[in-house]
Amino acid sequence: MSDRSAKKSGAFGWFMQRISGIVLLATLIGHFWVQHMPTDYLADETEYLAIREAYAAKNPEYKKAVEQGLISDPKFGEHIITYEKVTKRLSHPLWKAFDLLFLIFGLYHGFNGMLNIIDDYAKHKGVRLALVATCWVLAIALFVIGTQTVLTAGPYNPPSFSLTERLP
Amino acid sequence: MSMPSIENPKVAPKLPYVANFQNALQRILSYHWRPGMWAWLLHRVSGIGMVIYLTIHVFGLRALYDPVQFDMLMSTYRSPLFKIGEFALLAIVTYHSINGFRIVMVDFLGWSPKQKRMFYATLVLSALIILLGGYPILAPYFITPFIK
Repeated sequence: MSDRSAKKSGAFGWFMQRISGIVLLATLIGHFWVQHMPTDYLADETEYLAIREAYAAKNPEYKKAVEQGLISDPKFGEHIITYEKVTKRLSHPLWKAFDLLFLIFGLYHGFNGMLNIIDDYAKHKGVRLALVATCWVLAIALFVIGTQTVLTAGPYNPPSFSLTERLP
Repeated sequence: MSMPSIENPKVAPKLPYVANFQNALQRILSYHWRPGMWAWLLHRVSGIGMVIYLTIHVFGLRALYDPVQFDMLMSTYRSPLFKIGEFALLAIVTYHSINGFRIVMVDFLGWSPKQKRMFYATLVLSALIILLGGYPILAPYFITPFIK
């Protein structure tokens, strides 16, 4: 075939799917470790109750939600994702970068995979166009929403230091 | 039927196939399911599942702008049904990762001594990680309450 250029062969997509997969393997372990495993990035029972009490005292809407049982009690030995802990983690710029990396590579890998699947099964030209367009719209929307969530989450409080102290 | 040779490589005989539900079902049921096929199918299905999950996940996380909304959403996710979902997510993600790693090793390093054995090793390693990682997720809901 004369038109078997790098672009048409799909070799770049094939290669990048593997590269992004390797990056995802590393970021996924980190993400699962901090958000799903019982580490300090989650609140244990006592921490959860303390956080809940503090937020309820500060925020009447939060208090109402606790009273209505919408922010429920902890179970024995449970580790819980909380606004407090997530925003605290995301207040660090390196964690923001980590989550953005995870988001971008996850979206790329996921939707590139979807395009491969569409390529395999969708034969009709119109159907293909519709599916590919849906993938792109969804991927771009998720990128915008996800990036906004990560960037705006957590007040960034840079460590205070005075310049004069550092100067000789 | 001609024998496979260099001039005449092994080609499946062309059968007249009419695409309909009965024929598709017959084909699926009569298919010889080898481990490699399972590896491919599970990888594909888990991949589609994760794209669906990722979409819901990123849309849901918009709640992070408000502590009340976010902690309410987290409370919803802490019901037994969602905990089973979280465990299923771990299973899907683990299989896809380990099998993906196997694919990358085959493609980049030419790991191909014993394909079937490698796939079984993938399954065993996945099962181990799923059990280890699944315990802290499920224990407070399905194990500790019954031990106490």
